[in-house]
Amino acid sequence: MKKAWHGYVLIGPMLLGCAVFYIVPFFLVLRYSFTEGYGAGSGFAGFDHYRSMLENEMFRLAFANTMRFLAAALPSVMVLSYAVALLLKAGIGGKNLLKSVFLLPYIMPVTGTVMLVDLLFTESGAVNGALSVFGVPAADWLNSPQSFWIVLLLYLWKSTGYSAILLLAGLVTIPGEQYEAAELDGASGWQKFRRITTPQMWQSVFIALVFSVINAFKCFREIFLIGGEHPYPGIYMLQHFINNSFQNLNYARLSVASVLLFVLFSSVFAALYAWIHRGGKGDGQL
Amino acid sequence: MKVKMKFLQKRFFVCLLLTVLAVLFSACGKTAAEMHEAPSKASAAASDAEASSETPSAEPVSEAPDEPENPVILVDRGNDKEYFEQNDYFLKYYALVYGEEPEYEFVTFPTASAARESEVQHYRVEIVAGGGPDAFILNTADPQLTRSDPPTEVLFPDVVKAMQNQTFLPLDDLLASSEFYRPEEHVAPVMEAGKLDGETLVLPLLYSMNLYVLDRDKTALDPASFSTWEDLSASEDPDVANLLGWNVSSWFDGTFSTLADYGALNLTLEKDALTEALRSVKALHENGTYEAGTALLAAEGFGTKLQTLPALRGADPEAIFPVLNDAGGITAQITAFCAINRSTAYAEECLKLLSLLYAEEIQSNYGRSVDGKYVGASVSPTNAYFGAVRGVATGYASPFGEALRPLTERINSARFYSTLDAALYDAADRVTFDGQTPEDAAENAFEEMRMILAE
Repeated sequence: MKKAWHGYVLIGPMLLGCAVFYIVPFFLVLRYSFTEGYGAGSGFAGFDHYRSMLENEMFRLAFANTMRFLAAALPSVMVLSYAVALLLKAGIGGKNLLKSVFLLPYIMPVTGTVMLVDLLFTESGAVNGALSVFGVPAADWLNSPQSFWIVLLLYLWKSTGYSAILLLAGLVTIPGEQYEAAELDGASGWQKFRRITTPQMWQSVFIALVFSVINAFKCFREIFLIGGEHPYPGIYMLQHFINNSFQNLNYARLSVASVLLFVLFSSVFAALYAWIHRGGKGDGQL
Repeated sequence: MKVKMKFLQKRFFVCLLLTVLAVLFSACGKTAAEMHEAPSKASAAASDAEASSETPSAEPVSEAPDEPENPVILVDRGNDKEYFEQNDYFLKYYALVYGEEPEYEFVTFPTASAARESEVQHYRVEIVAGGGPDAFILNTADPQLTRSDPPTEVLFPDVVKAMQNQTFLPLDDLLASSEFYRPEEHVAPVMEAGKLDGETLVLPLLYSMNLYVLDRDKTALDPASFSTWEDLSASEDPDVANLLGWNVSSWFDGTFSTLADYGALNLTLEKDALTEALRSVKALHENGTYEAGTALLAAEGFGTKLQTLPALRGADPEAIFPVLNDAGGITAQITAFCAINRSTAYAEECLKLLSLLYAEEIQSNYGRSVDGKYVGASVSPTNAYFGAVRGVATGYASPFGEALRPLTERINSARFYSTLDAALYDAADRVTFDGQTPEDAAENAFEEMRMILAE
């Protein structure tokens, strides 16, 4: 403890930045969610904004779409990236080359991704061209219910590699001797995965999950460029709602939406974190 | 000794780190200040010797000080050079009328699209934080601006929503003592559009009507034979298609008298009516011919809006062809407005300036002659818009008065251009140029408008 102040001094600037750019604005947003009007003319509005928000059709649509997207995207990306990480660990097909290939979509500029989506899925795109060979009429995929699955596919394509790298980092820390010992005892591949790999991967899974959620929200940039401020209703997300509320200078509304989102995700991550660390086992073993 | 050296070393590196960070933070502070200086640094318009002797002591534009002492007016008309040259006349007129030098700071948006968008976001953040300019003289979200290439970002995409979100200061008490503001002399629906729940929050400045001027040598089309938009859309006269089939998206939104009930957050426009209207415009576009020589346009110009004003000089009123709305009248679409920021500390000073925009000389575009020069002749290059219309409303002598008088009396609805109009603009474009079916275009537009309104 005597020497702990050295550490605090060193991380002080970072903590100060965190406070100025994250913590203070968060409390300001919380305050705005309970006030009416701006500046000197503002007044306390109680829970009126929260009540009207829960009754707002577009907020409910955006919330439902966002939850639906996360419910489909997160398990999919975790399963896919886990599979890719296991393949990479097994050294199948050139580990280093594959790592670069899987990361390329993640680092691809947003405009490039959007151009690719346009090339494929617009009415004059490659998908319609391919389907026309089979006599299927052209469709405006980006303005149809299928736009949801296109966005999901886009997210999986972009984020799988990144999550796979995070999981691979966890996999390589598991001592190889444990697998050897298990093999000597006659354990099958599935048993080794379940009894050795999985318990030691919870921390990495949690981190990969957090980053997957962050990447899911970053997907808004592509959706915005594809569909504009008001895309097809099926892909109208919470960020659209918040962005448009800002354009309309409805700061109370966007504050409420932000606070509700924060409460939801904090609860989910807190519950997940507690579950992973249950029983006081800091290494995440079940 | 070794322990002591180690301790001193640690202290030294900690102090060095703190010093480096302190220097970095102070450098960042300077950069932030440089980035947030006034967007426009145009100097006062005093390019000739005569003007320089009459240049008011107040600079039309100056760098905004860190703590401005004068009210800051955000203006959005024309480009910098054009505005400030006009502005010089307006400020001289102010000095003439009030007998004192104007003390305001005028700021405007950059002309480059990306810089403008960044500046718009900057002002939005300021406004929601309880700051921002003290008053605004701005464009509305005219689709011909917001859908141009590159698109022009406007500060308030929906003025009515901004009114609902308590962005603007109520003006009724302040306007009661204004000698220039006489709403009864203006077009009633236009002035009503600036009110919310009976309270005046916004002052409409300019509006446009959709109309054409017919070339009587080329067509015998009689505007009086059409009572509503339905008459126009159902007409089998090929001259109607030739006239209206060109540039459909510019007038299509004006064929609807109302679009939305902002209080109830409902669209008053029905999807079936929209679909039918899009079918009509598609037919008009397909049936019209636009070769030179058959165009039913006045010799000096063409198209809708009041850009035809030069052609209206001495025009036969019966040759003016308005695009009617579904209620049998004309929709006035407000293109510019002024308002005061609710957070301002300079409400009276701002209103003193803004109400001057309703003065006779400004509205009529004639200005007042002072030593052979006209002052107060305009506030923007598009002065002809409200100059002409105001002249019609009061009977003030105007070169356009007689031609437009009957039309302003047919205005039965008025609204600010907004993103709702842009959705209709896009629908008309998709139907006429992109080949989309009216049903699909109506579906997309209706959903988009519903989403816009419900947000």
